[in-house]
Amino acid sequence: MSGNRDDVLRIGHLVFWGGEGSDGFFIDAEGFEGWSDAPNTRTEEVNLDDGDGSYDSTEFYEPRIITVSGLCIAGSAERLEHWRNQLFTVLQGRKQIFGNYQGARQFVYGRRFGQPKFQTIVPGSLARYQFQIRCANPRKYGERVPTTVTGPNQSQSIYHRGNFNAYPTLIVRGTMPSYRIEGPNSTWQIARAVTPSTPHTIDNFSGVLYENGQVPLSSITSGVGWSFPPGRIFETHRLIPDSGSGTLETVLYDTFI
Amino acid sequence: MWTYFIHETTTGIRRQQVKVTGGSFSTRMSDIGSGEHELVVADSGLNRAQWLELVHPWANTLVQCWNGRPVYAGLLQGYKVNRKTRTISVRHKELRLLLNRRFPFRVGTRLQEGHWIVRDKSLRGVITELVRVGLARPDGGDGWNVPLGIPAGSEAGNSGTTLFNWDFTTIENGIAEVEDRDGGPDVHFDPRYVGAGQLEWELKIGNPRIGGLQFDYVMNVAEPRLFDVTSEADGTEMLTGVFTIGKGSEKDMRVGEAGLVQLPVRPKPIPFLDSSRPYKEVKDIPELNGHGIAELKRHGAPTVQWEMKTLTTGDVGADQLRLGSRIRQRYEGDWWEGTRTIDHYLIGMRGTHEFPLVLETQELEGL
Repeated sequence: MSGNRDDVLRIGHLVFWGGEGSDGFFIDAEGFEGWSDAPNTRTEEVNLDDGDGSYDSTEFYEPRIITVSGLCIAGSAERLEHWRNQLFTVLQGRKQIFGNYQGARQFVYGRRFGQPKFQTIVPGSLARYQFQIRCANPRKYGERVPTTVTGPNQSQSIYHRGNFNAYPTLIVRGTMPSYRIEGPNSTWQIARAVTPSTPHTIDNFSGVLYENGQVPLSSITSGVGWSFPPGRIFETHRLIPDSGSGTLETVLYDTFI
Repeated sequence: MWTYFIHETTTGIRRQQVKVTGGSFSTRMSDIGSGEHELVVADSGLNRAQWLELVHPWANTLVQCWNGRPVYAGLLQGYKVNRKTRTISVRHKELRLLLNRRFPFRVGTRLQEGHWIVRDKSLRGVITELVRVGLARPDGGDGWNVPLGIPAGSEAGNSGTTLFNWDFTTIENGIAEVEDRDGGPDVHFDPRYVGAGQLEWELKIGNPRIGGLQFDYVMNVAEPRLFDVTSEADGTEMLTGVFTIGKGSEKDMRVGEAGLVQLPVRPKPIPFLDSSRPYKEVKDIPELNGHGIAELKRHGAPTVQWEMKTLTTGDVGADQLRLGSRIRQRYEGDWWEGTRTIDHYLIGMRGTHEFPLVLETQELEGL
């Protein structure tokens, strides 16, 4: 990194700066990999029995691996040790990681990967650090897409400004014994009652319905969920109550790879 | 895309979509297929009690779908919790296994002198009635019946069967006996979704083969849609004559037979191969002879079994191929097959959580 002092990366309360400074973590000129890059690709190779090459089978992205390295600068040995401890504190568990890079604010979910390093170069003032983050879900998320909360049988117009399939989370409120949600190529059929105190949250990424943080069994009777490919506006997205009334809120982020 | 669901066995209602890290299944006509899957517990949002409810043996059925359509459904048989990988691996078997555990009577309703009889039906009709008493009784109540797509009546004809209460013949053995008769139909329970996403098993009874759509495959092209094709001939079970041993013992034992008097010369004569087969529940000599003829037809020549792979992502997805489908292979100038068309009958499928699907077929010619 060079030039302006930008907060390139945030994990928890810790900031990794671009540019230069005198206290904290700074990212090297070539010390930020895997963020702009696409993740590695995997494919299931099936060779042709009696011909050149292999079958044209579908390819997928592997988890995203982000590598961050640079210098940690401090005014004293105690301060340097403080930064070291802070680094290994924020690298615990699954983290939401915010990036601010090339004019885009995006976030990923990831965990530490490999061996994080913190090696003192000049005792009391300078250390070199390096760590990797593995994002099991390789997607990067941007701004939340503005959507409107709609009533029964009212269709929503959905689009996003990312470059990859975006999975919406659906929040259903109201009073209904059962209902359906119609998406672009599937329909959720829900056999569980919604009440004002038990709204439903349906995660299209995992196909799980949550009710106050719990997952009630036998609530989804059919449907496999859907995602929104980029660059298109979808007009079919609505709540259809079997009886009663309710609203549908769609939570969706610009989704990138 | 493969997706996986757990359904309640007796109602067919979907309980939960689950994620798997690995798994395999096999389904086979007139047989009991099985499988095993590793379910991901981490991040499922379900607690321990809910998981234990979901993996409870027999109560639940795992369904593997391609593009939302069931390809395989297995009744859970057991599970193994792996603390290290945070997964639960479940074992399961196809619905027909349940017929192994069903008699025509239930505990508390059996009379020693009684019997269950069906007559004046076709072989297909007899099987329909057997399945009805095993899985879809009008007086079945909760826990006996499973959701079945089964015809309302049953086909008339001049066959029948009797299951005596003192014999403890299971419904499965009753069905297998009818399948083994001369002209006995193939039987398959094909899983499908009906109504609001309920699982149901469609009872398919052949005539004698189960009907199905035909899929054409041109084999001698650069990228054939079928690959890893093998054909295997097995003569272990071959017969030239057979005695079918029926009811009774010693001198009073009923015995049927069927056999060749002269040996077929193809391309060299094979030696005489006689065998005996038990049909202990049968007392009618003509029926025993019929079983003998059926055995002879089945085992007069080596069994030729084909296996081939296809990619589920191809033009014909795993959801379209059903047991009973016809697979037509067209060879032209092939190093082994020359130029000919081979019609196959799809009798089995094996798959994993990945794309290649193994098809097991029999040549239709001469069958």
